[in-house]
Amino acid sequence: MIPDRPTPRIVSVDFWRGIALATIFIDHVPENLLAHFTQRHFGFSDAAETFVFLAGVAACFAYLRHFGRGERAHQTLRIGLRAFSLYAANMVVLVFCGAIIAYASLSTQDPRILEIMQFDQLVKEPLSSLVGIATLGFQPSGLNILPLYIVLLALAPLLILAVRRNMRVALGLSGGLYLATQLFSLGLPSYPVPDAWFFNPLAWQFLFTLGLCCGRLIAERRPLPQSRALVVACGLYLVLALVIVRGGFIGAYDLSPLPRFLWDEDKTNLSLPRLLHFAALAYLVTRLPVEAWLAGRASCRPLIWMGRHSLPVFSLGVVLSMVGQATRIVYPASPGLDILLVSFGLGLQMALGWVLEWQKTGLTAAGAPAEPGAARAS
Amino acid sequence: MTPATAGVTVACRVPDPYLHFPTDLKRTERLMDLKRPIRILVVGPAIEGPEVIEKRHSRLLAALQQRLPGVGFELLDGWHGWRVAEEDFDRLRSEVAEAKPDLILWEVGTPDALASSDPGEFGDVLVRAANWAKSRDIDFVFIDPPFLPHVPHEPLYGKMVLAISAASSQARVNLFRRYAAMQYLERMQGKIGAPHPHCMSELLAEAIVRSVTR
Repeated sequence: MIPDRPTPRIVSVDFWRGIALATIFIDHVPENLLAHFTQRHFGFSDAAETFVFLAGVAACFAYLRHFGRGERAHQTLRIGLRAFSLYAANMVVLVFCGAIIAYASLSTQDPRILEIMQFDQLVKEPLSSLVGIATLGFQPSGLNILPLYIVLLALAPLLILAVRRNMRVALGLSGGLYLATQLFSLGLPSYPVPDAWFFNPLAWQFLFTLGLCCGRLIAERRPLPQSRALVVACGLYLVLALVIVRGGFIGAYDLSPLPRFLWDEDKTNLSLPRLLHFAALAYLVTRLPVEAWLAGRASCRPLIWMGRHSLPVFSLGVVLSMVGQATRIVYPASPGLDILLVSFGLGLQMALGWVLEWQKTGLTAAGAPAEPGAARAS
Repeated sequence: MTPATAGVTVACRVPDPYLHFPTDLKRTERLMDLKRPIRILVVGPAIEGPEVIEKRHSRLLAALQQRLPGVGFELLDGWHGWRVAEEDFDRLRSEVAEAKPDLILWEVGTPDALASSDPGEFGDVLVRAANWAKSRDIDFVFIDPPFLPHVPHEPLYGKMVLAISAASSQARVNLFRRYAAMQYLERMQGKIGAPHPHCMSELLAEAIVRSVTR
């Protein structure tokens, strides 16, 4: 039963989105000291899974309730406008990042920087690159999650409709597409480089749909299955993943002729070990009293602000990560520099979250649970 | 050292050791004997540096075909390869499962140099990747980063070049020493003129052909 009332804002959703954004930022400055302590070093999944799953949860809060008969066209338009704002943000981020990389390359006389960040095609083939930029096929290094999100939002009306009607059918359809993608190597082509999208939307839509379904369960206040056996299984799986990743066993085993997506680690197509790792982690986290723990805990508010304004914060984070990468090329990398860069970048993102929260709700209300129904798919 | 004379454009000639692969490319040789095409996966950007898509690996293909006219080479368009080696290795496994190459040419080291990766950890990944390819009976060649003069942060590349050399020795796989070859040509500029812009494809093809025909 889909409730008529808006879903009260779940602060922990904002909090975990904030954690995911902070992690993505840290991971986007490769090999910096703190990047060795992020989620991906302790298991198969990383912050991208959290980001996409919570995008599904947030999209559910924002749109599912309104998706009844007579409202679908309006809601589809709302989602379309949201997708367009993501598209515009992607363009702005692309321009800023391109400028930073171009400046780094020019000032050091090192064109290898352009090449590695995949901006060299823009220099060599500006016309086809422009086509690639407009059609989202041009995805330089680190600039590939927003295109995924745009496609997921474009698919959202269909997915939301399916989840609203019957979650099992929705999961079946979405899972079927996931399976077909893995078995028949379906995907979207990049352009002008004849490659595939780094995040294959046809695979990642399954995680987004899982997020939509969980969002609906939360909105309806229906608990997830409670089972001690499931808790133990999730815990054991996380330990196994930890051993494989930390022990350097990735790639050391081959379970062919089983299809590769069942056993290998593949981020592009969200292979099953990654998906299960995230699901196990998320299930165990839901067993923790995070919502109660966060209530009134002022120290967590910066992360909540970040999560609540995820699009602008993410965009700023991507640009700052480029600044971080360029700085680590020009100045000798050291633990001190790494900590300074990450602290500075996270501080700016938190400050942006605070400013946007202040602008929206007023200074004193920042971080406190907002008005019901304020959740957005941002 | 005396520059190699046979088969290489004058402006591209480098000493023989730069063109020597210590281990055989067994699978490639076998396929040549069987007169079957050789599928080569190039992981990384154009060997020469930025290049339009259509021509990305065409010079390498032309140089191989020119040297071994009867042999069918198929150059598979690998991905650009812009991540640090650890992440590229993950992608490499996907690509190999998809493309089923006979020979992998992996341009490696530039992203790790620019990210100031730990050379030891970087080398460990390369050894794992090389052993992984060998266990699948796939021929494997590392290509180290390109060299450029007058770049203030050039020492970052030097560390990775050493790590790649050590890893290739440890894993007993071949290494195309692009960095050293470009450095040599740069030093020789006064004597032989500016290096030809397409030397690296030519030298790589020469090294591969020498290895499979010795």
